[in-house]
Amino acid sequence: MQLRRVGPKVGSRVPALFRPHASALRQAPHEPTAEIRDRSAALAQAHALLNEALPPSGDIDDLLSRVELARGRRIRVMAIDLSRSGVSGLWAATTDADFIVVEQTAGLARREAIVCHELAHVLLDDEADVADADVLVWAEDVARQTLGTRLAARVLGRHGYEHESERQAEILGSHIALRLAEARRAPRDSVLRHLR
Amino acid sequence: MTGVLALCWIATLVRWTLTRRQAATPWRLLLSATLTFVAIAFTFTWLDARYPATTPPRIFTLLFHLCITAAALTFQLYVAMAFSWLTRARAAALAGLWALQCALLWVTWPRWTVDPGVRIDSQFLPGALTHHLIFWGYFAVSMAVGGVLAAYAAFRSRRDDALASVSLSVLTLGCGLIVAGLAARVAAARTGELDPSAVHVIALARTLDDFGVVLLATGTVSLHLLPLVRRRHMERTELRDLRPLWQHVRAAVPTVALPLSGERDQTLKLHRARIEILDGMHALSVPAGTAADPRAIAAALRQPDGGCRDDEFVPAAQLLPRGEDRAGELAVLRDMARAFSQGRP
Repeated sequence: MQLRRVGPKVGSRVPALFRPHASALRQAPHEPTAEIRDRSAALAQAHALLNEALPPSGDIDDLLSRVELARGRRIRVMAIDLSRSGVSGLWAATTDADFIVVEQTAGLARREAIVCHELAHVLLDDEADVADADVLVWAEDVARQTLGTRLAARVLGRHGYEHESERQAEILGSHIALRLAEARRAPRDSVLRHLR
Repeated sequence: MTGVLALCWIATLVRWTLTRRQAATPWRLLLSATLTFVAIAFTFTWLDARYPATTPPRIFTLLFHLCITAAALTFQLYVAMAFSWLTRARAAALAGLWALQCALLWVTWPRWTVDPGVRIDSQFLPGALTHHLIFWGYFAVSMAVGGVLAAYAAFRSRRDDALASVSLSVLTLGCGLIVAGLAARVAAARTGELDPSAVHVIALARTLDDFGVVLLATGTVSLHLLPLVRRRHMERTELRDLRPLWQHVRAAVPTVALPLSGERDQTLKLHRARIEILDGMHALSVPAGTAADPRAIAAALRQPDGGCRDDEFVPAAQLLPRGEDRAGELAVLRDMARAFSQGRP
């Protein structure tokens, strides 16, 4: 199943020269294979969507609502006990919605980091990694039990960064979290927010 | 004059550097443009003083006038755009005013005669009054409006953001001095050479202008620089506190460690330190009887068997006190990291 992007194609409102510094997000100088080109395109699209969807409140739930609107697919966040799974969060994509499952004991900062990581998977349209078969079997069970009869079309868990897709999702997730933190730091006064 | 010019260019370079490093919002671009136009205008004045024209037109003076009117326009737009009442139509009207101003400057350009070897100040030339009223008057009104709006913003932000309020106050004071200098110039142009005191008024106006521009440049730069410096300092301090525990966690639980080799972004490093420590606390175990206190948990983590899984051990995250909010959570983390590094041999 491929997720359909229905959001408007948007570009950055500022010239590339003035975009915030994000060295970790630069692509490694590999051969430009079709896969890497697709990955680069997905990253660029994810950043464009974030530029549009980033809420002034800096609240992760507001961001999810805006991404929902832009993509035309529901995103639901659920907190369940993941302590025995070895993962701290997971993304389950069903036929009509994306479910982000978060470890229920996670505090605000960690919850945000987990949701940002899973949101990065959503935005990058990642596929489940067969190398994590044990975790995936467990996660699919949990997802099916929690989500009812709907089939979890794909499930990705947050547990280590050995795989390139996990590493990229964590980097993009960190970038999203930093953008949210920057928005929260902005002055509350509307006039000052603009002047700054 | 040379000192003020140098300061203007330094401030301009700092501002563009800050604008480039941060997200370049239209407001930031406009304020940077204002400072740039002022610096260019002062450069033309400096050139005019060094290499006075012997025949009209005085091209440096003309370019100075154009740059100053452009600075007035960008400053007006910068301050006014922060208020919701500035619609596109009104911004277009401001741009139209700027075009009209340029046209009037040209039409009323005094037919100055320049006596070689004698610096004749244009303020005293017959027929220059209309020109100066249009030029300095327009600029004075622009700066006054901008100053009032900046003062209002400084007043509104005095509790939320004291640093920004101080910067905006400095900006306002700079505007005020410039407006006072401009008013003095208009007054001198009105009395002309008939009044000998006009020479002193012009001298006073130049002093006010210089101080005003210095304060304007200072306020403009500090508005962005001070919060950045303060944030960098806080981040550096917190990262220094977290680093020992962070390194311990990365070594003990490699699965939480995101490769960051060569990464120089301090903000990203601090974020990773917080998240990886929080993740690591779920993987590292401490004796079940450990007190739910950051210092006690830090002491347990320092033990050689810290991090082992056993029936008598529980994940450190279970004992870690939950902060009331995000800041509280991070404060607990920092307390634990400090205690961890203090107890190390």
